[in-house]
Amino acid sequence: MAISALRSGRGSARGSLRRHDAIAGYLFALPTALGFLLFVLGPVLGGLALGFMRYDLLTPPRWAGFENFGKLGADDRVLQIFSNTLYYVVGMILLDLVWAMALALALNGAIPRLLKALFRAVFFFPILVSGAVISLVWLYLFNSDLGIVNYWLASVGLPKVPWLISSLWAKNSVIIMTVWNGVGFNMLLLLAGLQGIPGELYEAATIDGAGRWASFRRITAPLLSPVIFFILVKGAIGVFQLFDPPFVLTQGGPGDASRTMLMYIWERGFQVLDFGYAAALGLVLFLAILLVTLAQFLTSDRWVFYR
Amino acid sequence: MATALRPVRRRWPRRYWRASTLLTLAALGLLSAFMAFPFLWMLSASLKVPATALAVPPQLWPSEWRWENYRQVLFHPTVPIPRFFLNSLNVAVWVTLGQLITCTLAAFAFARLKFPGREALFLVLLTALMVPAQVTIVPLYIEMRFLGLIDTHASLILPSLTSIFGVFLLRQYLLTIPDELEDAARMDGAGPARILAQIMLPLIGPALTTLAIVVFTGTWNSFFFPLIFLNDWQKFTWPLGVTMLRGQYSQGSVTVIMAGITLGVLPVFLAFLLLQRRMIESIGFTGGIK
Repeated sequence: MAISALRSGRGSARGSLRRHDAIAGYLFALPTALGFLLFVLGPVLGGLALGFMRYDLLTPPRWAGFENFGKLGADDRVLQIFSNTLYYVVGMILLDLVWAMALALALNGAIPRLLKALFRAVFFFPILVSGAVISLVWLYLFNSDLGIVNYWLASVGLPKVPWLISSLWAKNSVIIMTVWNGVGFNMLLLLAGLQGIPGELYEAATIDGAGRWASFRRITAPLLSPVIFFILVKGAIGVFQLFDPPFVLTQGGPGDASRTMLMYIWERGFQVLDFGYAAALGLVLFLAILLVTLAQFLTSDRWVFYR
Repeated sequence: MATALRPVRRRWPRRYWRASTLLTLAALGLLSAFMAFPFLWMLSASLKVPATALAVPPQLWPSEWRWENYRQVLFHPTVPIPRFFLNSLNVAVWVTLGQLITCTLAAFAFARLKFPGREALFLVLLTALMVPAQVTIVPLYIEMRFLGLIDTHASLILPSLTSIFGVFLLRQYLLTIPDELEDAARMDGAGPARILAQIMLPLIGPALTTLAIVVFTGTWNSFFFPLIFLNDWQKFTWPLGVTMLRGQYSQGSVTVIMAGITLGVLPVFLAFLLLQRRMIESIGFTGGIK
């Protein structure tokens, strides 16, 4: 009797504790859940609906069916901008990978610790500066007539490059500036990956007669493949949302040659006030991001090597 | 290879003199010169006389140091740079404080408290990480207009007062704290609030610092949202405001623009000097700010 009373007493105490915990749990999660409802789920559903409407802020929204998506299919600018995006995705990720790998490999060499920290800091610092702001500096560096980059090219006998002016080089300028701005992050990832590879593997390979390139191909690359996969996935998602650097560097020009999807959404929505169309573009952008990410995951087991 | 059987050298200083190390150092020197160059150019241009800033051939070392550029940018007749700083600070401080509070509370709930529907709710919230903020921008703008918040700092602060990313980060950290610590406090009759305040908070300091650094730098550098939500340039944040130095017809003086940018980069640089290791770890660890 006494024991069971004690038990039940404890049980009810535990029960009230549990109720206490549950109430606290809901209360503590409430601000975040509210934020999610108001600023994530709400806008996502709103965007979904808005894509099927005509809305210019001034008159009430009207149902438009698939009108916006029909317009989208017939819009030549969308085609141009999507091909820009493709160019950006490939160019930016490739340059980023090569650049970050060069920095990481150089930092991974046997050099004094203090110098290593110094170089790492120099490579990392640009990340902390807003891309929009530092693009203002690159604007002058890339200037065709007075810019220092072209001056140097000319001084070693190379032709001047129409950095921000030609259709091709406007895109390349955006790529170079953006990668410079963010390469420090992937460098850190790759460096951490490199430091996680046991040295014995290289020693064994050297004993077996492998040269540097063979070691890199057969040991470094496969063991880094999970990191590289992460860089590809995150990189593609980032490039799809590119805005600040081209907005400041080229304003999307010449013509639409360097315009990105997000810049076009901004223009259609906030400049032309065609909000239904902008929302429809946003939905397509979201779908494109999902598809690319899915494709990357589906093809990953062919080349990503997990230890 | 001949090098295969060479004995491993243990003496540190010696191996730094190997040809390959010197080569690595040379490569690192070149790479870092390239990485740092835009900042060096910016600094040098900010101290030049306008006529020499874009001179051909370029002179990197100013022939005459013109601190006047900084006075000009601080007291610019149409572009109030100090005001932009205060605006940025206002937004970034509120957002950072807000996230530290809301994310800690939610992370604690999801990591250490038991309540029905906990896992399901957390999974639903996690989907937010897959929705790029830029895709929701159009409906968010309409929502803000509806709330009458367009052209206020509140439109930048409110949507960022909490973040699923922050909850996730802190939750991972809270999950690693051993149960025994909590059990002991529970024996003494401590409720959830006291456990959070007295046991958990002191232990998650590093994670909170990480979150604060990532959120603050991200908000400070944000350009897209202020561009969309703000109209009145008196309310502009620094990244948006500083681009105004160029002028509507790009007539702004390059030396003044560079002085304006340098003024904004300098505090970041100083913070980086002080907190270097911390910042590299935070941002490297959490997935970058861009």
